[in-house]
Amino acid sequence: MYVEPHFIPMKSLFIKAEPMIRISRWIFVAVVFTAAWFLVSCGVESANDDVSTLPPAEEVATGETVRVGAPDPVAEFPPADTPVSQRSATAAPSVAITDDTATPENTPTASPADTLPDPTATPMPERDLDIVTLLAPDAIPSIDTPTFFNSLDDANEVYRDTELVLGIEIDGDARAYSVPLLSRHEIVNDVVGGKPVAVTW
Amino acid sequence: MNALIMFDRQTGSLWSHFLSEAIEGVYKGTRLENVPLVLTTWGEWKKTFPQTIALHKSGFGYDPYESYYVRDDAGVIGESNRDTRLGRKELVLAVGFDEGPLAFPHSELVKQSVVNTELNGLPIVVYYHKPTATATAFSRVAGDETLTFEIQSEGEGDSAREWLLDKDTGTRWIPFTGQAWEGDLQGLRLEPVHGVNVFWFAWSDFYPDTEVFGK
Repeated sequence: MYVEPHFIPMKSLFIKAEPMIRISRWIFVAVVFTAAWFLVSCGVESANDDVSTLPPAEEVATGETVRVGAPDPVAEFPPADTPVSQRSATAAPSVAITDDTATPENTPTASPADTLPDPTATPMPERDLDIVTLLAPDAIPSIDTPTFFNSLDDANEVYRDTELVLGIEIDGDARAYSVPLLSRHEIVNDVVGGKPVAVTW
Repeated sequence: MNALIMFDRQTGSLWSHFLSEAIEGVYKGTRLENVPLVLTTWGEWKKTFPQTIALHKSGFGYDPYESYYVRDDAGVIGESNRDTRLGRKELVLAVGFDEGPLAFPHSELVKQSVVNTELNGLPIVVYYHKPTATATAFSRVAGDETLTFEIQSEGEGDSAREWLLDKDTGTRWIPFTGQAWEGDLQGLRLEPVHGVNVFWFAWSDFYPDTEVFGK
């Protein structure tokens, strides 16, 4: 089956199964986290895609899900002391995927020839993971139609030299993604050097 | 364990960005191809790639997790496996994943900013750029040769650059991307080793059997 996924952050955790001992703590932490978390609402167009085929959120997560309501979209930026995101990998791998929406002004459209790898090709180890949902899908908006500063002069206006970036270069197409901005979006669906990628943080 | 999960709009499968793998849904067990990227500073990145473009944003902004990066707490739920070999929030360059996890603490790389070693039988080089705490890893096999690298510095201050110099052919390589910049092997590119720069607590939760370089 050929599909063209692109990725959206879903504020979830996966946790090793220790349900009885830690479940109440999860709920507590989840509630505290959610209460303190101000939804980033930076106006990216992640809501434009068809989500009607998605199962309801309750079905997405597994049985041991701890679910709390999505926070109110009140502030453009979360406070500086926002409790930690469940993102803990500081430099996530970016992953190559097919993508039917990322068509930035200065990038070619993805080649439809790309397909996902065959899941049977490399058997995966068994994972002992539980999934805990803290924020609903789309609570953190991914960037689906990224735009770019095309000159260093323009970028230097808002990028400090000491600012952390994720840098990617494919076939001479070099791109930098601001880490402070990625902390608010977590995923950029982009096409780099003709290759559809999800840059994740 | 603390790590972002993503979903795709087409199938609703859930994907771990940490594992690059779908953990629920029709794509469960499917792993995505990893594309190498570098966590570094804007200043260093544009020095390496003056033609770079940069994601648009308004204003300098700030990172809402600034204080979290330096606090001692572990994610939202704490770690499920406290591995005291390293500090909770110590940054490591972690490689190997399911095939045999190996972590290079930044605290060790500070002392030794190029490491010629092996990862599960593959000769690799790990590079660390001290001014920006940037860590990368590449295969040392180029064509038929297994290379041994050292650091070569050039310039001072803002124009300072570092290169990986292989002792075997004298080729200079870009340490962020593994491209042969000049020398006999110019045009080749070292195969990147998939790795993440990550807090120790997050990595050791996923991979408790990790070997720690220097320990």
